[in-house]
Amino acid sequence: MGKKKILLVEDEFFLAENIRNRLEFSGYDLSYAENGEEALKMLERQPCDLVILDVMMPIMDGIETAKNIRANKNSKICLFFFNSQSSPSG
Amino acid sequence: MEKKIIEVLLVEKNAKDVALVKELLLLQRDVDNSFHLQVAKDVEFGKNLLKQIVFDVMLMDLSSPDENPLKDFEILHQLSPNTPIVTLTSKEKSELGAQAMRAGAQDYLVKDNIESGLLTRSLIHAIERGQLIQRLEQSLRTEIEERKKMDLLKDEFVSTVSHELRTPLAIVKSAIENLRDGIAGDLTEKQGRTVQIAARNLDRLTTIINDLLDLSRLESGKMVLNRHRVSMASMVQELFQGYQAQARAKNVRLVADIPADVPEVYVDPDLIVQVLNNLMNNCLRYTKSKIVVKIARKNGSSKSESETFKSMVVVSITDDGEGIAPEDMGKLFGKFQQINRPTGGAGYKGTGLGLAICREIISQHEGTIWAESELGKGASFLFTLEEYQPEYDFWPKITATFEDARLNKEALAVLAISIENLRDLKKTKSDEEIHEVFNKIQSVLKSQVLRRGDKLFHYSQKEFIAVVAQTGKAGALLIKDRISKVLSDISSFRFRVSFAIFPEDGSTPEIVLKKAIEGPENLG
Repeated sequence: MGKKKILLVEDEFFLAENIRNRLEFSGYDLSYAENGEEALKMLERQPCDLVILDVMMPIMDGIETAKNIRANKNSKICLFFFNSQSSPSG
Repeated sequence: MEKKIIEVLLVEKNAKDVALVKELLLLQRDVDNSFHLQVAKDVEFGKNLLKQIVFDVMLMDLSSPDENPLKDFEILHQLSPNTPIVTLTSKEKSELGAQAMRAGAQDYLVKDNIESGLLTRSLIHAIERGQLIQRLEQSLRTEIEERKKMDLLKDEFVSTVSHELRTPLAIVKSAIENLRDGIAGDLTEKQGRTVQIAARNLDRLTTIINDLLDLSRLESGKMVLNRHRVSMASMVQELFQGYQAQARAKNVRLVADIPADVPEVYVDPDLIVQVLNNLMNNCLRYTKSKIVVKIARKNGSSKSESETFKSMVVVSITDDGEGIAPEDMGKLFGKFQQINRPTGGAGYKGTGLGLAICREIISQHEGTIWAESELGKGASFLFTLEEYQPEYDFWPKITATFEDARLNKEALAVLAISIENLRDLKKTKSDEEIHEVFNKIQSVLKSQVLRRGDKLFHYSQKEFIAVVAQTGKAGALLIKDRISKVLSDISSFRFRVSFAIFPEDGSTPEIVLKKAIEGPENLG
């Protein structure tokens, strides 16, 4: 069985690198997009099993991106949000 | 040098007095100023002139046989509040002049005693004082605006710092975790230990930043407490569950001293849990063998402004460590005040903000927090919280109930139960006794009268109990009978039960409640 594919969408490059190292270490096939728009383009070319989305991002944020992915009825991609801001007021 | 022209409005009915003032102003030997006089024979005329011309000063006679000369004064003063006013009175009515000064006049002169120098001096001084006041008001306004701007900047700063600090923190944290978990390659023991130190101190840095942000949010006064009716006893039980492992590891016993009848409190649970955690962490750091959390009821002998009987709940957390030196007691709740106390070992160090946060949180709950200690005998931290009173929920609850009824297009009956002659009774009965009666009524209502859908609200600031039921007038009459029957058994007080119906009697809870209380339905 091949490796599961994960698309990581995160605008902070270094944070993305750390997450990517950890997930690759755990045996996943990682690809990376800097924002929601880029992520949607990549998904058109190549499907994946899981998308990890930062909530706050420039150009297209996580929520908007998720709506776009969900709008495609054929997609069975799992979505996973994360937020580096622990406080809702931040 | 050219003289400055001063525009004077004289409000004077009496032609002789007009002539007198004219003469005095012309006679004056003021080198810098010359006076230009316009005369209004009454207030109406004065108002018209004030609308057209900017006067430097007004001179107004209060001694005319008008019914209310002060009212005239106020009319003109309000119309042009920045024009200073000097009043003239007769000797007999000089008290009027003093009254006018209290209402904003700059000076008053008694007509029989005026000579030229006095009049002009008074007018000039009135103008100067008026200008001074305006300048002061202006600078005060500027200061207030500046302060508002600063507050805004501070808020912005805090949220920017919050965001800007957290992102790099998250990156460093994930990098350290990757190192620790061997993702970047296996570590030697020494490398592992080094990474461990970095991780622990990163946690400390995160805590300090979070504490600072918490504190600045609390201090900004913009924090809205999310208050609920909460059992302090179960809060402490949960607290102990969370600390069990830590306590066992340190061989510390956790003791709860909570009486069965301890009342509920009305607090923001998240914030109070934060206080408990802070105090608990402190105690664990300093204690030798046990920590005792005690909850007690402190009957309030003090009455609040609304004369409601208020009781407090006192929570204390006590350790059996070395205690706090008397000279350090005053520093405890300050920011970044580290005092020298023998701790449980290396690495135990607070942020220096924990107790300052506790104090802010408790004071926002209108409580107090303090410490008691004797060297060698441990330390206690105590705080008070107001006991939960049903009326705290009154408006939120009744408003929500009305909203529901409005949406579902249902009728609501609001019944008000009050004690007859409460005011007189208060002279002979203590607050506690009356409080008890209200409690008794509530429990009787709960057990014998209320059915599902009836909502019971006790609103003791106005000293009545409201029962809200999903029913119309017919239902309300039945409930009223039931209430009357059970109340006649319970005490020697005489009760009054009356009701009003939503939406017939009013559209808001305020109106319906008012009608219910005033309602004619009497119980003998």
